[in-house]
Amino acid sequence: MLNLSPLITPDSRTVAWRDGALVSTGQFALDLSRLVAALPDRGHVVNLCEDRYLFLLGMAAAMERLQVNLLLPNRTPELILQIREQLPDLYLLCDRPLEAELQAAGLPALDINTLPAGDVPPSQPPAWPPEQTLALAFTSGSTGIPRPNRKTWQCLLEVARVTAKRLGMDRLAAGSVVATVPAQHMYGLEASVMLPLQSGWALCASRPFFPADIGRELQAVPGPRILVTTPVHIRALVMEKQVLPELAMIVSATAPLSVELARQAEAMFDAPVMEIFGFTELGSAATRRTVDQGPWQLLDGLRFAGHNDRNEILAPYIDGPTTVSDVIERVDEQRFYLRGRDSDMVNIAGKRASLAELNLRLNDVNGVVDGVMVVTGEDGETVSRLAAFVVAPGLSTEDISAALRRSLDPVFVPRPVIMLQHLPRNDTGKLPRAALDELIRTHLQDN
Amino acid sequence: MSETDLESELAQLIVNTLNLDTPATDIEAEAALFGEGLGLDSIDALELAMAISKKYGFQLRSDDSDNARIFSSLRALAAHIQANRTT
Repeated sequence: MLNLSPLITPDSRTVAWRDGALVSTGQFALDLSRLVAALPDRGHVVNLCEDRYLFLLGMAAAMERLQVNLLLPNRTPELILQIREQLPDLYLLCDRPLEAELQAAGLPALDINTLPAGDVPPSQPPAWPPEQTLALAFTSGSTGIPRPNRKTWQCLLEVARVTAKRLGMDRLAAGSVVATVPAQHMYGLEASVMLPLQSGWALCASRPFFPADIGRELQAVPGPRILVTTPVHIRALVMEKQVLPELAMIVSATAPLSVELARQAEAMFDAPVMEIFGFTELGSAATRRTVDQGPWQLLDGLRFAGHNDRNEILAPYIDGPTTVSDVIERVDEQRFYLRGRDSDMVNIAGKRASLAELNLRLNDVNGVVDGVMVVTGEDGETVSRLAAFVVAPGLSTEDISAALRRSLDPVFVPRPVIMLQHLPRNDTGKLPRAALDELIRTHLQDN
Repeated sequence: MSETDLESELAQLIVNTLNLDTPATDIEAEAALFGEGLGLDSIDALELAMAISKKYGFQLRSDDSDNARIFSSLRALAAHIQANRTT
């Protein structure tokens, strides 16, 4: 049974690289005991730390106190308050002052940087039972009510173990993982926190954004180096012809990566580009090397459930089968091709949402009589976006955008918002696809 | 190039790069670019960084606490470009 005690030995394994300095296991143990002592007595914590090392610290401290980490699809006050209706004892853990709207929401919060100084001697090395819940990862489904997915310590360790094996990390010396994705997202948690942790690699505390930042952060850590990122960032790096130090590999997830972009990245950065396919309910599920143009391969231990006509995957760490919302063409028990998505799910720059839920949010806006979100710009290389057609006498497009911004991740705020007198619904109240296409043609494509 | 000329040029670059419906002349110099105001998001920031690199010959970075200020408005971004441009 794996636990954290390999970390809490006084020798010099590097847990993280942070602000140019390494954080050793000994330092981690001291930081951990300090934070464990400072956490409030509550059951659930929303870890908003942007520093990846502090996120790890918060996550581990919560586990020590038998608290559950809540992973939310965005950090809007509306969503957090909605979750609080399910879990009234939640609090926020942050590493910088909260945004004004979050402060105004009046939620209990602890800033890691305001802990009283002084060391608390480290207690016994943590040894968490495999079944202990590390996190609840929330998805916003088509009902509009966020749904929790339980992630145990064991399941996260196991996914990290088989992912590392599949990526060939055991054939490399222990190195550093740099990531552009947030730790709060399942992919970020698995690939940028758990993967290095379980494999004995160091995680990089920063979250670089611009191509120049990514170059700098990779340069600042010792190799072998793995870059954990997404197609949007890979495209930016390639277009910028960014100079990067030697890389062991690039890992991509959250949205399909085009073979052409993968080829360009492999040629430019002289490193294999590996894709991970996963989703919140199951976590990381399959990998492929994009340029091979072969099928995806499920991670070791996963397999398809019985019937060919149902997209269900069995995992040893999840009770019962998990349904995949993408359309899958099976090759055998372990391999498959992805053939497009469930038409309700939209993917914008790697963030997924249910179109039904987005429409609910739009129609919930005070003053909106009727409204529909549509996906535009899905032509391969450009990022798809949302536009909206809205009936809302008395509201301006800015009113609607501002209202949506309070409850949606910014990438899902529609642009443009087109105001209409009415939507072309038919007799049964539905919006036929043809009518929607006509609206799109008239209002969004006539330039 | 005067500051206001650069601001107009930058406004046009933003509109063209991001395919915005807002006319460039409608972007107020002191209004927020991200979040409210023009309502740009992180994907836009990346696109914009590439366009700025290509046109003005330097790379946007987010190393410091100045980041929020630099991107806070058209005026602030133009000033940053003026200070760093190589073309």
